[in-house]
Amino acid sequence: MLDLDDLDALPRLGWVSPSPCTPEPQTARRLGLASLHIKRDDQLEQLHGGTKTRKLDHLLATQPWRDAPSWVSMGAIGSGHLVALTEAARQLDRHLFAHLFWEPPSPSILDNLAFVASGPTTLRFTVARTRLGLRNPELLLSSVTADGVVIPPGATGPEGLVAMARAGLELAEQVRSGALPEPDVLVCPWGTGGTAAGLAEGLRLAGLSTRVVGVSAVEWALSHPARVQSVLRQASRALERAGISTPKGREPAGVEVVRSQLGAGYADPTPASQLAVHELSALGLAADSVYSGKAWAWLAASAAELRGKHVVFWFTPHRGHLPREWDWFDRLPENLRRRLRRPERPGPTRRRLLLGLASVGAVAALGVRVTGYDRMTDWSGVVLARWEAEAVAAVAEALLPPASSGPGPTPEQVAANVDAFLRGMPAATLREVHAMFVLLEHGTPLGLSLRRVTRLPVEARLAFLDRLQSYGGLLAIARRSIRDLCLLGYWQDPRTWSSIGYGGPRLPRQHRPRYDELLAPPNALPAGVVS
Amino acid sequence: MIFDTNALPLPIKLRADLVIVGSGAGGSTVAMEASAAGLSTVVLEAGGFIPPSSMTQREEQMLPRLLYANGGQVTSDKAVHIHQGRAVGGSTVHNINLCKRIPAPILDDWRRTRGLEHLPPERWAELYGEAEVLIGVRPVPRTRWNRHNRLLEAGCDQLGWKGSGLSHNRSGCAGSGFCLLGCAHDAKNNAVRVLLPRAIAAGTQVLTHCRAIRVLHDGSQVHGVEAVALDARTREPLGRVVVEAPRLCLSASATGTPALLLRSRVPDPGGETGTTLRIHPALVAAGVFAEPVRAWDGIPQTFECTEWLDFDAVHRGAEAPDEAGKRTWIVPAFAHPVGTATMMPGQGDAHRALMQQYEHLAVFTGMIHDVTVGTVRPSGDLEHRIDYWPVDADRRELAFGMAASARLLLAAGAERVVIPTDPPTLVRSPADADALADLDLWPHRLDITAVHPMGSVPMGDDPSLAAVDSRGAHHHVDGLWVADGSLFPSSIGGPPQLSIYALGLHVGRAIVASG
Repeated sequence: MLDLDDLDALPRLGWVSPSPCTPEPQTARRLGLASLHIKRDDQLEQLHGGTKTRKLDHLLATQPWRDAPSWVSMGAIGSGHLVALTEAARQLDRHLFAHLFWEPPSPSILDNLAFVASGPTTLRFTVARTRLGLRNPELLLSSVTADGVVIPPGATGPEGLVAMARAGLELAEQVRSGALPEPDVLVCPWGTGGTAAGLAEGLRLAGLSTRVVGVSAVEWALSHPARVQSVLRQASRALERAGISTPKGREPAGVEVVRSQLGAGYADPTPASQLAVHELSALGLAADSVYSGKAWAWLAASAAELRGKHVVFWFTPHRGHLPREWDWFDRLPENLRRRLRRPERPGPTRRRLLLGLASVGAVAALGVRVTGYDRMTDWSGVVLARWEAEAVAAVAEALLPPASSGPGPTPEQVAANVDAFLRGMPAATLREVHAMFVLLEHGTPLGLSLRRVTRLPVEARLAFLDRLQSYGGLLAIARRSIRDLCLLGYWQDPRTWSSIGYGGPRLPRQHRPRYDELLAPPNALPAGVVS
Repeated sequence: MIFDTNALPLPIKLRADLVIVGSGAGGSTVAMEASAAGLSTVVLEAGGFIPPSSMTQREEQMLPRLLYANGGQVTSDKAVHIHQGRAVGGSTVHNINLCKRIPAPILDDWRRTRGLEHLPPERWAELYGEAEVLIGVRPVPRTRWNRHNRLLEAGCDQLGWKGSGLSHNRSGCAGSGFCLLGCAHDAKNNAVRVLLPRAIAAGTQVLTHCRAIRVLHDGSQVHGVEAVALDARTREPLGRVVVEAPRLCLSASATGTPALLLRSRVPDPGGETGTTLRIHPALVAAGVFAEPVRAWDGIPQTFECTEWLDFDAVHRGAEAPDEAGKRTWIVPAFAHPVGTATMMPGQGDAHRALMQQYEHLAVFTGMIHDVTVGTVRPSGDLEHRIDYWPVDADRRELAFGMAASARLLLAAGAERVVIPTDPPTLVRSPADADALADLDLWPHRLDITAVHPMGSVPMGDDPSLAAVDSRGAHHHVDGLWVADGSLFPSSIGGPPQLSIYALGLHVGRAIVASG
């Protein structure tokens, strides 16, 4: 059985002293646990706290990183690993070349990004993780690039694994001191795997038989059983290389990786993880919905399984709000700035690429449905594509009264009116509007027709729209939305008003106030401008 | 002065004594108080400045300029429409000028449950007195009531139900009937006409097309606000705007304010921020009369039916009574052709036939004093997500309100009442109308509309529960204030603008007094 002293000979910067392990009796009672303790790595003093501090404490004390003037690493735009590295670079007067890939932004992710952009860093951005790896294989395969020495993603190299084994020993020491009972289960997030694997090794070395559960925040490729075993082997070998002899005859360390909380994929928050963030916030913990939120969500969802057990939740994020420079956004690479301004635009990730290919195949199988829009060749709308405008016109033709019933706009004019109305709508709303048009125009197979809506006869269009209404749910909402847009495009036209007795605007004849005296003169700057 | 950020060099950074997010009833009143006391004040407004001279009285042109999301804001399940202002002056530019005080039983309830040391009922009375003088609140003379409102009065008389005239903050009103699209006649005594000119004369600077996205703070002290300038036409971000200030007042509405606080990770141990949204949901019933009503013509909403409001009963105990018919406020509600067309069910000739009754329609709405709590969360930097679906007691109250509206329309002489289900439900007798109270409501069965989001950052004296105290000061971050309808600890059962002006006076003075 080992203890912390046995690792004292290993090089480290001395940034880490034991983090508190705080009891949460009320939550334990609510969940039916014998006890619940939260290992508060956010309280680690250096680098704004967080478990990454532990890994860098060992890694940056080791060559070649110790003396390198610059480091290179990669992570998602909200990477906690890059946050810790940025702060380490600032404290040790180094420079960090950070290669970023996309994840859906959230407040905590943008907080991290703003901090990284505000530090001694040079940022580069590639949308997709896979493309980043293909373009820069040296980030994964080499130890040095033209910019500096490479720090592995998540700092999950041998030094990081040893650091986390040390953390396991630290917990065991707290158990021995009576700060908490021996845990039956330890719950932590699983990303690159270093935290869970290192902790499992440390607990095993300390003689504890705690079950370590890593809640996966990453896809199957990074959390499948062979990958888990590989990381565990790395941890074991790293300890051996560091001269830590493992007790003979003892069961190898194990981590049970659960994938039930992943949701749509890496960095996509789930309702449960968002709720978890809220619950953790009530305990005074600033959690993220990507890692710690999903780990807590598993704990909360597994209360029945964990009933009566002593549980430790390893809280890995850094402390709350990070400082930032006011112009951090302008320090980002142009392609990332562009992307953040329109985060809704789907990136060419592998999953989306596959979905896209599948869609194209499906379309090909159904016949050519995406060409041949020639009704409105001079379309000059801003929001709607030409085919969408033709869809509006086709639906307007079916839903609105015929021209013979009285004066009014043509279906093409209705489409133009709809386009004008949609300008300036929130991005999320416009995304839904575009999706609605896809559903509408290409949803005809639901009605057993292979022809798209714009090619159906008017009566068949109407029947299809009625059918959408009867299906309910999203289909009915889509039908109602496009109906309302068509009505808006139609009844705004003054030619339609006389038929209903509406007189239209009654603007005052005399001068109307312009409040010019409130307006700043052209080219004037506000008082108080500092830059 | 008013500066359009579209004309400023970007990025830009300013310093001020106080920065205010939002220029509606709350923000403009705080600006007036603070600048009069000598604080250099900057107001950030996400919308543009739309003076009466540029108001066209056309729905398709004015709704996108005056309303958030062009008037298309909905809850995440698209089942409830929520209209909110987005322009210099906020919702005071497009509202109908109704002014009512919060009923005494609600204020007493708040004192009992939330403390509100700095806002006891007697303080509210003083503030209301001042605000009413400031914005010229007066009863609308009976001679100015249009036929639409007189029909509601007639319905009340016929049924023996309680009802009375309403007070508005308007002067010089031409009665054009286009209040919802902004007043081209400049007859609204609103933030633009009354408060901002005073604030600007005292030095306030307003930055338009500027959306605040994050509170700058270190967990215990506010340092300012980070914002983006938005393209006036496309609403796409143009560049960063940062205002450094030791005081920040959020008056960004009951959706914008909590979204900003949550996005900025402002401490809130009680977890109330954004989780207690009320909206006053409403359903409508449309009566078809033999004689023309021309409901759009003249001053809207000058008469109310209060038969089914019993604030004493609702706020007497710990829980609202289960029985429906105690939380419904009925007023006339009408729209111009686009609004009416989208409200009417059906399509093609059937819809056209309904629209041809337009001149003969009177529409009453039953708006409820809701107990449902919805949530607001940030969605990216620029948007927010609202989740709200009425709980069972509120669904029953909504159905009751619709039934009562139908009863009133029939009593006033309607030949039939159209309930905008799809296909429409026609009501021809009081018995049919009463049966509406048993109507089951599910998402999308009927259009639920709301115009009064509130209560999403409720004030309270206990810092372990409430985020903000009864001065509007944040309990956990010094220099951070809130002054808008978010502060109400519950729904208030009536139009909120007068109470928000009053809160603006109260919070503005507290900011000045805080030094």
